Amino acid sequence: MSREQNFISAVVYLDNMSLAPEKFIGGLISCLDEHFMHYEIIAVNNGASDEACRKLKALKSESASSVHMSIINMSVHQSREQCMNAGLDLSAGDYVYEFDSDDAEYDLPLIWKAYQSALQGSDIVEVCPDHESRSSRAFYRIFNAYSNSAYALRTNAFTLISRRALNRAHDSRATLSYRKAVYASMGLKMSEIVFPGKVRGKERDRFTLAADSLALYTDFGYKFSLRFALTMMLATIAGMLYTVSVWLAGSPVSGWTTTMFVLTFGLTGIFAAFAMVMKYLSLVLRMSSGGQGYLVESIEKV
Amino acid sequence: MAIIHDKIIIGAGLYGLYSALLCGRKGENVLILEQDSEAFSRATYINQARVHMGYHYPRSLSTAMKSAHYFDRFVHDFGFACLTEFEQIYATSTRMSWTNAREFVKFCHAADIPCEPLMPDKYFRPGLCDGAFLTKEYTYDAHILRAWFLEQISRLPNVEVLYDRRVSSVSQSGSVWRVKAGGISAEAPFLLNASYASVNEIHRMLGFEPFGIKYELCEIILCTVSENLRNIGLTVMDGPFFSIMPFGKTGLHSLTSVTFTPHETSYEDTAVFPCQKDSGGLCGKGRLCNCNTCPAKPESAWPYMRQLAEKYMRPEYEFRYVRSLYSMKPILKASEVDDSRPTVIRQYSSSPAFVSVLSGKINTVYDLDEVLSQ
Repeated sequence: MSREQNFISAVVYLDNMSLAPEKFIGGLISCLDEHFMHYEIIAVNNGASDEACRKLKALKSESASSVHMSIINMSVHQSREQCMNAGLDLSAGDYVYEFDSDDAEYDLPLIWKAYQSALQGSDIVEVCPDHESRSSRAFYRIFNAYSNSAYALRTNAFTLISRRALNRAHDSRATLSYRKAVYASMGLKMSEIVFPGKVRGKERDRFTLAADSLALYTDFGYKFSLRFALTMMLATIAGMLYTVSVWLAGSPVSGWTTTMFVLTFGLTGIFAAFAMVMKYLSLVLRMSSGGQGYLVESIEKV
Repeated sequence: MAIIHDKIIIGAGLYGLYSALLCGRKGENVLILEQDSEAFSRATYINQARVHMGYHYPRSLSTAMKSAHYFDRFVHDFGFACLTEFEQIYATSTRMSWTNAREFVKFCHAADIPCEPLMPDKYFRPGLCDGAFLTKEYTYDAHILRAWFLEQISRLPNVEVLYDRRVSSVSQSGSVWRVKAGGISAEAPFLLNASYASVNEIHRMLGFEPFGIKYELCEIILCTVSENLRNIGLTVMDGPFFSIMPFGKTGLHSLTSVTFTPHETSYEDTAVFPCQKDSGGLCGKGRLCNCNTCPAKPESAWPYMRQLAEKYMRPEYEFRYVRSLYSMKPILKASEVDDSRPTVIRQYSSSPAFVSVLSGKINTVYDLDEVLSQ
């Protein structure tokens, strides 16, 4: 079988949960080698053990094929998204595979299947498990309800993205805080491949990512604060009516409770709204500061 | 019976021939021993052929200023071999770079070298470079330079160049060095080791401390380019990027990349590479053959370098593969952090004199003047 001419990059995230990255990457190499003439592997090392890195380098020297592999060593422990962004920035492929985790529960032929799906006209192919954890499901339900992108998000195992989609993603924002959300909202065709199983090992720093994503890529925060403000206003009006009626009845002492209620409730509301504003401001500040949003210590060619 | 010379020079690269000419013109009796069958057949020819003005070293002001200092002198002396009429553009990558547009401008001002801001989008795909600068940097043609040196040397009866003479041993004999190479034996009170990648092999013969270097087996790709790129050189700084620029006066461009140009790296004092065992006995530890003519040279990284260049360059700029050149590049280990490329000249003994030189830049050759005046 003749191999594909398109150049493929595969970005693989590694951290201290990665005990045997050479297993996954070894499988990945054999799969890519079978189907593609030219490909590169970019491992993003976010605090993986020295042992894991050593095994990875040994893998390169063992493999007969001329694999091009780079390891990006992150300076300090950074979020999965930041690391993947670093890997994507280094990649040069026409198509780029994003493996957020080296703990694969799926069959490797899915990697090739994702590429075939891309050739049929999808700029983004998400490969997803049919099982989602309860917290993920809850997050995506809120996310999808409040986001206005054409595609609904769900838990995924890995992604394949075309170069033009990556270029568009980088065009729209300086820093991709949550890649999936950006990909889904770019107006390019996205398709899904579902396999039976679940994904593990993506539990870390999820809460921050979830909060950031909801604020950045949905109008959840805005709607929440708006509703809160409305409720508060209604409560204030009700309190005001009550105060007026008490005053008319001629027993003003009992209005003290109402005043306190309005004050405390109102102030709580104001602070809640402030919290939202602060969240937005901090995000705006971070996104407009123009930096690449991650710190790299070194790039090794293996 | 060994012939006694004033100086023996090991290596007919630019540093060797420059020294020979300089000393020969002073009337000294000079012998050059070259292991290949012609001069300039390794690193002097096989590199990006930049006449450095310093732009390449935005993290080492000292290297930059030194390059700039010698730039005018080199162009004055060897302008006939330099291509000057093209736009040399340096750009800073938006991502993954160790520098950025603002720092690059600051650096150029500090080094006092010209740098005129351009629109990056004219040359690069949108968003990939945050700055592009028109600079003043030339490229030299090693073959024109070689022809000139050999012609000048041929006029001097007191300078002799011997090819296919691999130095097999060096020993001290009283106040002179006795050098054996390819069946001949020669003696001189001054030995200049200008053998570049083989520098530590000579040190080993004498038991001198090796230079702290690592070795990279490098590939330079020569390309034909579309008309709109013919008079343009592009270099993206400073990290895992690439450069495509005119290769002397050959009409071709050289394509190199920081990631893919080095194929293999050796951290030993004298180079050890897995490909040596496939060289048919030509190459081995302490005996580097010419990578460019070696039967075991690596497969070209062209698909990778092309991919990287195409990621950055606008699609209307086209380039096609012609051939690859391979050479061994020694890099001082100490210069990783600041990416400086100092020219190292070290005198190991004075009577008889032994001097080693190691430099990755063509225009710092003048650094030799002082030590050669002994």
